[in-house]
Amino acid sequence: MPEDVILRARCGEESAQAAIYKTLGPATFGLIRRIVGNRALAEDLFQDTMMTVFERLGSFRAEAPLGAWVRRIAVTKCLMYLRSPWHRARLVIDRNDDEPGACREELPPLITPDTRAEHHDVERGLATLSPTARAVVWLYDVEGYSHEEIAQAFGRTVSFSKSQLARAHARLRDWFEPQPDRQSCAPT
Amino acid sequence: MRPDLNRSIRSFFDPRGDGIAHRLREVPGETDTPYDWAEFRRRERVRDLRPRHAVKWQHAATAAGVTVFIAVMAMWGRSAQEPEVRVSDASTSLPAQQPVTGGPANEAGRAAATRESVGAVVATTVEAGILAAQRAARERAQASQQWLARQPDEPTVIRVGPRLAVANLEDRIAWLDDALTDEQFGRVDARQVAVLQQERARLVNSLAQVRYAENLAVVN
Repeated sequence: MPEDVILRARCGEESAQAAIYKTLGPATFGLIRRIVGNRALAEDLFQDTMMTVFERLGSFRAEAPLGAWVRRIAVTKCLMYLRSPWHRARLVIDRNDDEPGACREELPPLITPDTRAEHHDVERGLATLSPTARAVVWLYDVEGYSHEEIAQAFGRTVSFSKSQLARAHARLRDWFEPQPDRQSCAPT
Repeated sequence: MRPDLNRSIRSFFDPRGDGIAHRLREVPGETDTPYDWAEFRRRERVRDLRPRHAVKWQHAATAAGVTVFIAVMAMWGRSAQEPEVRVSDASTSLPAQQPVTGGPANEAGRAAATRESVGAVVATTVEAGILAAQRAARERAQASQQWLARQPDEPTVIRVGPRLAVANLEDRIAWLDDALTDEQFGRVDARQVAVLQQERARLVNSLAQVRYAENLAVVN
């Protein structure tokens, strides 16, 4: 992101802010969508994240790229949601509604018409994980967080992060192995 | 956080786990935004009309500041009265032992000086006491947090009352975390952060007490 665009956006110039939104929006929304899963919720958190970005742009010190700073805000917003009692209450309700053999995750995987065929399995595998496990896997494997950082972000212990990751990896490994009778959670 | 370094280190030391990581990283990270800039601005305006937080950190900080001020004044008032009694006691008992140098005017001056020095000592003591209390509260909160981390993720639902209390406390802690995070993203004011951390420590202790009571109820 060019520095002059950031400076103009800081001064409140709408065209510069729109340019930042257009450039960083897709990656930010993709990140949020992958962590929380639910599209409506992801839209809400995306809106919240971008509003925070423009509110706090004055305090951005350019020590890291703007994109990394925005991702950090997005991750914080997602984790705050995952730690909230509202989310836990929703999980309890969902768990009570579960029937044996039903898909654990009601959320559709993030597959769009542009998604390449080899990525379908990954998206579907991710959709089978719980939101917390999915967040831990994504933060560790893709965003490059350490176990200590994940534990701190969730307000839990390092062993929580390690066990979540190990279980999620085991589940994904099972998923990636060919199983002809697999029941997909994806809409057909 | 150094994703570039972390990734290369992990791929070297953990090739088994990295097979999954590699697949995940190959998935395109970008997704079309749900709406364009115009729609974003429209939603922003709609949100601005609603209060984003029922209680802002300024309100919490002001309330905490007023409470601390009242407490300090109350302690000051109580402490200032006690030395005065001692001074008057001294003034009634000392004249028999010490030579009288200046009569009642000098005596009043000495009493005033004594009161001032006692006042300074009391102020220092009160300040040290507050700092010690804050330190102790922080340590208690850390111990409570460690204990809470060992508890199961979801509290056992015994009655709706305790569950709501736990949910309420967790919600308020999450709100304070939110406020603390906002402080970190913005200009850091050490005093505001300290007030928020103090409030968070108090809530964590309360949460630990509720969860402990819940554990006792389960055992019984």
